[in-house]
Amino acid sequence: MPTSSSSVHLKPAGPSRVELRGYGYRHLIRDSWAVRKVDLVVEPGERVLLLGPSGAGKSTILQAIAGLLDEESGDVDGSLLVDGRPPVAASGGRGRSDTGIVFQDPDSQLVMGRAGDDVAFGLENAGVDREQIWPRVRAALDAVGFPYGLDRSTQQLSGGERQRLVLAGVLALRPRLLLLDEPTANLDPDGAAQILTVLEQLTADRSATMIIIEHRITPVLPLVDRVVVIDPSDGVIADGAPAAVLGAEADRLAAGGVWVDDQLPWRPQRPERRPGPGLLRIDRPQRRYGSGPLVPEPIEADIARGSVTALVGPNGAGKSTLAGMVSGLATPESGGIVPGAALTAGLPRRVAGRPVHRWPSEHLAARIGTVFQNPEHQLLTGRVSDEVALGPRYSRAEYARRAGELLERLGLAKLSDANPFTLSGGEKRRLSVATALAGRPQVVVLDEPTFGQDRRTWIELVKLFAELADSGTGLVIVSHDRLLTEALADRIVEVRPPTAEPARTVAVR
Amino acid sequence: MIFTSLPPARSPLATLNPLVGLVVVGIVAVVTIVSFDPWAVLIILIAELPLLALARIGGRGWLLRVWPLAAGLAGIMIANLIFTDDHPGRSLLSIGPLVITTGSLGAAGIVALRLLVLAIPGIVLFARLDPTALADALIIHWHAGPRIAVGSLAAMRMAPLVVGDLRQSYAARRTRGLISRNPLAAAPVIFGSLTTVLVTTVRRATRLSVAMDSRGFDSGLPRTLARESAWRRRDTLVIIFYALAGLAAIALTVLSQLT
Repeated sequence: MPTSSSSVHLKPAGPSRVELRGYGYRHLIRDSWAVRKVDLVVEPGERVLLLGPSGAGKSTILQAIAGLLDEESGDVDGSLLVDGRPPVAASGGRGRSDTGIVFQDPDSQLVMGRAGDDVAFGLENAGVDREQIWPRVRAALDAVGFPYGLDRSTQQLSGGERQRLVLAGVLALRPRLLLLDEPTANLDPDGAAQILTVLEQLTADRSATMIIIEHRITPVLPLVDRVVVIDPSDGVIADGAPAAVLGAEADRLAAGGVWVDDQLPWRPQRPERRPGPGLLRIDRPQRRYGSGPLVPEPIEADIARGSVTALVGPNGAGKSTLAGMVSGLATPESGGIVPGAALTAGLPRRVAGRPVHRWPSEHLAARIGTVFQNPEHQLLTGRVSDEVALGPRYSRAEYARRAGELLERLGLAKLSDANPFTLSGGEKRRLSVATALAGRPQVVVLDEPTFGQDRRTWIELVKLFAELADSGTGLVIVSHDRLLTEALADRIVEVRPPTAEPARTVAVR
Repeated sequence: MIFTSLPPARSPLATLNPLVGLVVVGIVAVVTIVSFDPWAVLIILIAELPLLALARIGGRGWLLRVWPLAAGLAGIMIANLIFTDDHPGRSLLSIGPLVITTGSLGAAGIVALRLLVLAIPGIVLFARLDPTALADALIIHWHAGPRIAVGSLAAMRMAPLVVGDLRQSYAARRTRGLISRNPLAAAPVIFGSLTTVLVTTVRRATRLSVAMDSRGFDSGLPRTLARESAWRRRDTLVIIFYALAGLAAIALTVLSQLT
């Protein structure tokens, strides 16, 4: 982990001061204001956590401070000053800015093919001489604890490593103001812990002002001095020391979707069940990813009607590989997925004898549904209702009939004409579940279904999954989310990495 | 496939400036377009032999790169044999309308050979091409705009992500019962899923350009370069060698036309 930190971003000019007075912003294409009436002063060196319900305009505020929004992209109300001046616009050749910003998705922030070149990218833009670039690149990579050399391909990095590289690229520019827009939302718990540990070390000396947005706030609280709660119409509604603000606002924040603590937000009252008939058996399936070892370590489990099986384990253990094989998407190289009689009922005889991965697509969809980790990967059309009604050729009418019913049940009926890409994260997730259910599968495989969701959406999803299981669907859930498995799982299957040595982990709070 | 890059290895060719490859491909292209003379093509082919020897691509690497080319060459030869109405020389084969003579076989062979000659420097010099080095060289030696050069690099980094998106899109269609053996039935679904992959790609590219701007890409300050791009004497020598070979080939064509 990091060794030195202060050398990277120490700058004589010192940390920035941010001042918003009655600030509001409305995107050009929207009718309503994204944020309004925000009065906020962040003093130099302060570390502030920005909270608020989903859609409260927190990201808009950060982007405005970073100079990414201006009069050309929308309507601006009130004033916004960084060190007494309007922020330097990031585009249009207006000179350099001392503000750095890190977003959620590392993949859309890395520019170059090699790690060192990527960190150097910002320094090249700032016109730093070549002799000074490389020492600064090395210092920034050291500061974030980047474990590889400068030539490491950015494609070979894990999510957490990529996000640390992004952070290094921003730190190399020695920002006086560091803005972080849910920097850990796309990362697994290990990756998230790595980023937060680095941030804590980097900001401890107050050489830069920091404003951060996060949904899961417990691990962030130790590294901030102040919590500010934003409301989309009323601006700042609470502001102060973390303990005081959370004490006073916990209920309102929780209702707004913020993960105020690590307690289970809701537990389904599931009826006592006797194990139903077996739907399929996970019989030690393994496959190789590229030239790597066979994963996962052999696992045996029976998926019964109405059961919830959680597959948990560290990164690289092969959880997603296992999920792909259970879904009938990937071919096991040894072992297999053995369907039970209840699942193969109704299949043509020549298909019923085949392994799951060789079932024709339409038979698979009517038996095993899959919900992908990223709901956007599941989208195939430009309209919510079409998306759910899209089914195999011979079952179109049946799918169309079921679409209406599913949209109603998953609370998407009023959005049926919307473009799926315009939905919120929680709505997209529900839509992806609806598409998986359209074929009435008896088994549903869910890959990280609660990943990056706010607390409110989390409760909705867990309710939905509990209903599904109660109605007899066998659920297989791959997840890092401890609360999800605690709330739902009848059985937890530990997926171990192929080698004997434990995977590299960082302590999670 | 043919465009996948090999990892950097100790090949003398890998130490050449990436622009040398562009220039050599250009020279060979001009010669093969201008000249129809078999001897001219042969001169260029001989001049390319050192490239083959120095490439160090390895059997597997060659197989991966050469099969599309070999298939293309075979197709061109066959098309030339079938569709030519010029049948000089001795008849080799005559089945109905299909007539193959020594003359038509020779002509088809030369067309295929010209294509081979054109393809070799491309395959060899780009097998180990480092896109970053090419962008640097374009900016330093040919004064390309950093916006284009670096922007293209960033776009190239997105390419594997798009491949991943396409794979996911196939998986999504399979889990939803949409993989059909009937191509007519599958077409609208495939078209729809390609549209969503395009939307995803554009959105990711938009986020990337915002991230690049936030790191000062469009700040208007004079940009420096972190890496050097050396132009050594051997780069000039290689270009002179191929320029001379090209001139010799063209001179030969002109002479044979005169006599």
